[in-house]
Amino acid sequence: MESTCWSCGEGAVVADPDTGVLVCTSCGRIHDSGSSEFVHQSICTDNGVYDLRASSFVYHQSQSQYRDQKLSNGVVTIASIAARLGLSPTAADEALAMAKSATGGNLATQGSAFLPALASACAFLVARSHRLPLSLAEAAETAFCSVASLADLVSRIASHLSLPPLPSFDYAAALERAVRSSPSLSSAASERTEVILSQSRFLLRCASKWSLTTGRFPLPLIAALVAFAAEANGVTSITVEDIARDISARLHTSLRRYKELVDALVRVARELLPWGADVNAKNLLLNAPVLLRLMEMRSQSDPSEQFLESFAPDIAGIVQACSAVDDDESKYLQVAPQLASDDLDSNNSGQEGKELENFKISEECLSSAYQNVLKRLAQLQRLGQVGKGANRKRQRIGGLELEPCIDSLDDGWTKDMVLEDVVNIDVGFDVPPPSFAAGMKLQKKRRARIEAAKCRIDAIRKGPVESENKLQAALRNEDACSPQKPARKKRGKKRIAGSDRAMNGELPIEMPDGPGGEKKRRKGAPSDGIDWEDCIIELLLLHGANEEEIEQGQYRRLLDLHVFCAVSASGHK
Amino acid sequence: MAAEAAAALEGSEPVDLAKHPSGIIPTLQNIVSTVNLDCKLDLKAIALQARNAEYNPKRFAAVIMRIREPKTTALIFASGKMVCTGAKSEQQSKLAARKYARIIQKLGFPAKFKDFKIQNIVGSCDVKFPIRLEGLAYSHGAFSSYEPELFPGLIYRMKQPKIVLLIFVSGKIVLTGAKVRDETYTAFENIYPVLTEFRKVQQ
Repeated sequence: MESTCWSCGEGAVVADPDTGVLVCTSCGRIHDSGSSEFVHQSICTDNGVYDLRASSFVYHQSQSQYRDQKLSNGVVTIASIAARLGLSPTAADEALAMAKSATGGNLATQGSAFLPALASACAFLVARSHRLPLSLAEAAETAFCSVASLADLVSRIASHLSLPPLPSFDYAAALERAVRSSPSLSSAASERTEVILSQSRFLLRCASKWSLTTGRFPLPLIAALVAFAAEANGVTSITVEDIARDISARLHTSLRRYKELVDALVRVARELLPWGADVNAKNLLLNAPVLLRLMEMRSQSDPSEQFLESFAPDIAGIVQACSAVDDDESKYLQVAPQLASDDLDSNNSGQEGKELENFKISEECLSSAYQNVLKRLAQLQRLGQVGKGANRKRQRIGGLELEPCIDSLDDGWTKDMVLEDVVNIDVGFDVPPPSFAAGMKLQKKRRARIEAAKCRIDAIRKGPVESENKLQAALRNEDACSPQKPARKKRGKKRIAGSDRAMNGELPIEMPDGPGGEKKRRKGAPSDGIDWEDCIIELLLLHGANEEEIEQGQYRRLLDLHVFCAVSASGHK
Repeated sequence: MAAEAAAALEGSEPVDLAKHPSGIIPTLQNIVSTVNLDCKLDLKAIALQARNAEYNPKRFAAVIMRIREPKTTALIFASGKMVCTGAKSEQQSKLAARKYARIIQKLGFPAKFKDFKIQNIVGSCDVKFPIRLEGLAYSHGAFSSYEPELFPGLIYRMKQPKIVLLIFVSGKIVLTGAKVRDETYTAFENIYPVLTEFRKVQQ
């Protein structure tokens, strides 16, 4: 059966009698689908030569046994793959129907790479249409093909069948599935699964708020969330790699998501915790339980006395966490030595007594701060200034660092800072999307490069003037030597010789093509720290390109517009 | 001279707020045009004679030819149809197409220059604020397609003008499918209020 060539649109596609492949009679295009569809090892002789008798048998239209066998094998394969991906029999039937619709009822040949890909793509589409947490990575792994190629096939099938937009990926369901089905997690911490799942869900909401989920593959982030929650709950034997392998997530990407998550949490800790300045990626896990609980409480929409009362038990935890911080690095504990010095004046007992007193003072100060907050809040409630309607500007929680000292010194309420923090506790921490932040950073770097290039251009433009001034100065020195008395001829000769050497020293500047100049340029290039991007920016500036466009980094376009076209126009003249 | 003036205008054109209320002008990144040389071509002969031509019939049924100025790529088919890609403006695209036609003529074919047409214009710009893609996809579901597993950006299919926009969380926008540049500009002005509505405000 002849068809029109899809490449040139003119020639007819016919089977080559020698090789059996489908070719265009006009442009000679070889159609791969023809070769993959009709040429099989079974129709070649032992020497690899095409067997005409077998091909005639294959091409005989009246024989339907091959087609029935092909369809039967295809159906079995699709059903098997659908079941392996967790689809129910009903959903598997939907996937089969979709595959038939997409291929016009022909499915694909058993043993070809296309059949499992087709099955996985249709299973993926059906699962997503039913909001099942099946990811593209899992489907691709089952089909033994790359995620990109399967994604392309999914797109083409959806487009071919005019499918409606798929529902969004169900992160929560995928997270629960990952926690409950991960062999590594089950073996290491089966008794803490619910706690880990709960914290993972909360971290997922935070990650969504921080745009860590936007435009990314979901599984790597899920692996990072589960791994962090497990570590925060003391499951140290679980790593991101283990979770990533269990849920078919990319390992490298999962590690990157984990790092992003840790960086974001460190920033949050520095913002929310009194000792946040001491928190870093290394000790974040030590502070994670307190931090997560504090974040979760702050996420409440309406603070109340119940919230404040539930905050009270954390004071002891905060003190314990604070005690775990290295004294040498703790900025919070730097305040305490002042109190300790006061204790020295009180003639307290030895070092142990000082440490114990320090610990008590910290705890008492925090407790006192809490009591003051309750009193102040009660006063404001009577005044009707507490609630959702109280839109006060958020203050830094860092004020708590100073509160214990102030209370211990003044023994009274002197600041509203802490209360402001408590009233605005429902405001969470936010960061821009990573890609946006990276883009802004790159833009700043380009701006710095532009300024540096402008300085270099200005320096080059001013260079010849300075050289001319030096030459004139040398000439003046030479003229000044001539009036010398004969008795000082020796001294005069020396001066003239020095002038000659100075003039010789200027030769590299006046003769840039000389060997000395080349050596100087070669030696200077690495030390200047100028790379290809600096050169391009300088070139664009010299050709009058807009700085704002250069800042955007569209070098190729700007070069085409301002440099190559300008050169072409100049040559044409 | 005209090309140079056009390049200068494209590079430093002041923003006309009457035409661009957003204050942002999308920059054209790629122009795709077609032309009919109106004669049958022997692709093997062209590939043998032209030093800047590639021809692999098993891979693609056209000669791939490139020139430096304007920096473009042409796909030349045996039927005489030619596709020119890579130009940064309409004028560049037409100039490049004429150069390719001239090369074909010098190789001995009676090539003409018929039915030149701009088929596609790709533009891009940066709104310089992050965008909540999830909210935009939910609110404009009839026009939006947001599948992070398939593509990191949101695909917005605008009806009038008929333009496809690729919207990224970083604020970068790509517009494709225009036949004239005004369609690109109009599409961006249409989408800009929507992007502002779904701007991710940092607390």
